Amino acid sequence: MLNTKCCISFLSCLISCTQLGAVEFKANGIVDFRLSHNDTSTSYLQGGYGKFSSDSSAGIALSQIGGQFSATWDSGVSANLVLNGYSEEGESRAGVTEAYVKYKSLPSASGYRWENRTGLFYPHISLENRAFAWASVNTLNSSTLNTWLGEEIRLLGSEIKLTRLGKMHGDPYDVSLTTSVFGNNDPAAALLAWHGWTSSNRQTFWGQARAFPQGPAQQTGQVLEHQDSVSKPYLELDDRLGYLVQLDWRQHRKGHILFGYYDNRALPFIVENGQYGWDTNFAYASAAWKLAPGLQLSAQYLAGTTLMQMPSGEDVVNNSYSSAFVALSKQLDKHKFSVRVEEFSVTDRDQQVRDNNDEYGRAATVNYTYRLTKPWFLSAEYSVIKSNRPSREYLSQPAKLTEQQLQFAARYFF
Amino acid sequence: MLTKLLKNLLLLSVAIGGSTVYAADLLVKVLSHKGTPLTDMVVYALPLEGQRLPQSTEKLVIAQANKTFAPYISVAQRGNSILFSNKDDITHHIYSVLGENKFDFVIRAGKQVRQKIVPSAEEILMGCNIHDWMSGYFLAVDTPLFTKTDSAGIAILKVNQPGKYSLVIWHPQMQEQTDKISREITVTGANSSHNIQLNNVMAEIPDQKNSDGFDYLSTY
Repeated sequence: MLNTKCCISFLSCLISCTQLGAVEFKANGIVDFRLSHNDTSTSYLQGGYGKFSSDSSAGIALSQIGGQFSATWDSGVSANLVLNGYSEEGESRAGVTEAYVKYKSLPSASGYRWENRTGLFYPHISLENRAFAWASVNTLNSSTLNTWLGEEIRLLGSEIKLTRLGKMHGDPYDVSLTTSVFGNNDPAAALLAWHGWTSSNRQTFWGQARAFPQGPAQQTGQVLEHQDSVSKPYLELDDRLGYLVQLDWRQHRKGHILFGYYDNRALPFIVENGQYGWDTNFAYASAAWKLAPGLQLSAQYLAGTTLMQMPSGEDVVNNSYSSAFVALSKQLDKHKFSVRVEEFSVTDRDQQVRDNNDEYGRAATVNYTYRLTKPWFLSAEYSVIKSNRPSREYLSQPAKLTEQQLQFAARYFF
Repeated sequence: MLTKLLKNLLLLSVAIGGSTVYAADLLVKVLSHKGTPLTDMVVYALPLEGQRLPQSTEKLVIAQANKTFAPYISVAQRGNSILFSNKDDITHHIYSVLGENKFDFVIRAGKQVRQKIVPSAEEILMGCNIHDWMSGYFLAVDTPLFTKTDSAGIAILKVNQPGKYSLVIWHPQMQEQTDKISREITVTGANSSHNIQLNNVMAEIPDQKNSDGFDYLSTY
């Protein structure tokens, strides 16, 4: 229903925008073919605890086909649609990941510019997923932090960004303040609670439901018996808007630092059709800095809390969580080497003994990418995640586990 | 190399007295505060005694190439128009929002746009609203006697009318006490040379490069 509404409003925006002058249509995207070898348990994408997108060593998969389509009018208005899909292990799916109208003003004589995005969009938190269709630039798997953003965080709302342009003030930096109000993200952090931090390139589509591991608390008569066996991150359950604020500092030709805060302001005791409201908020900081020509250091940190309750007000899930990574990337002509180390945790602060969400882990990723031709990139990537997650014992798996993945990819950008 | 040699010979000939020619060459060397030659400094001479000079017929083209303004600094006589020529395979949105000469237009790949500059315009900062790192400057001057220094810091103005002139040096990154450096000179008909040295260090010139180095970033 909501999908239909969204599509109609998006199309009506497109039609009304035809009044705005000459229009330019653009289509860009990515096709990502992969071969992977995995040493892990059932993938989180299949409702397991496996931290990678795949748990087998199948043949070549179409890991991502993403397209972003835009119509841009000379007036500064653009309509944007981003579609993503994949075909892996006998399953093929595609959906909408972003759909919004954007307006970008000209700078004023005082050197300020404002922008607005209205519709469905990612907040600009990730420093990794900046390629077309939210693909990661330097690695095949996004960090655990950004994989989570791609799985459960999306804003359906409106964002205003005000930028002070340094070049018009004689300063070598731009500063931006972004504020957003949004709805339809009330169950955010449910999947993080129940399958923990994960690392892949997979994004959820608008309206998608994702399974998670079923433990003793989901059994009949237990505290989570009314919870659906899938979580739908993009629902509005309480008609309360959430907000996001972000401050960006871009030092020209050197780097980018940003800080922000997200709060979905969900009522934690609302439940509709097995989907609960999760009062989720987090603070984040990201930085990317050019140390030398071709050498870039980047880091992101995110920490927050989430609360989900029974309609009676009893805490069912009360977690704090954090994830951070530091990455170094070196480009040498057509070769690029990237390494990334991560640390992540979920701390279960409620009294529900049959639903232990505790997790602590570390991850490392090493990537080599060769630019074969301008649009073709060949990559080899090794990832290892060591984690301690007691809830794996609900499924007779060891709490402490080391998972590994070796991937080869051919990525084509257009 | 040959040009450099010729210029050095010219410098030498000026140094040893010069010859009397009707069209005097005004040779200007612009040096940094440390005495090193400065490239792409705008040099122009404003007539101070009502000398009647013909209008410049130089056609000014500012290209958008490799997501930069090329050249970074342009100079033309007041009243002329600028031809913007997009040599990239992408669209740019060129703007000027400061001062009296405000304009903005979208220029598609491979296209050209002619932009009239209002007569009162002087210094214009141009940008691209799609690619923030792009910036370029345009200076409109009240004289046909204008040029920019070469890699040896040398600029030559061919002056046909003798008399007093104001010799002016300008660059957007100059950090002198005044916006421009000017010096009053008298052109007698003989070649002359002038060394002009800045007092302060120049601000860093933006290199108009996207720091990412990756071609497939979302800018939508």
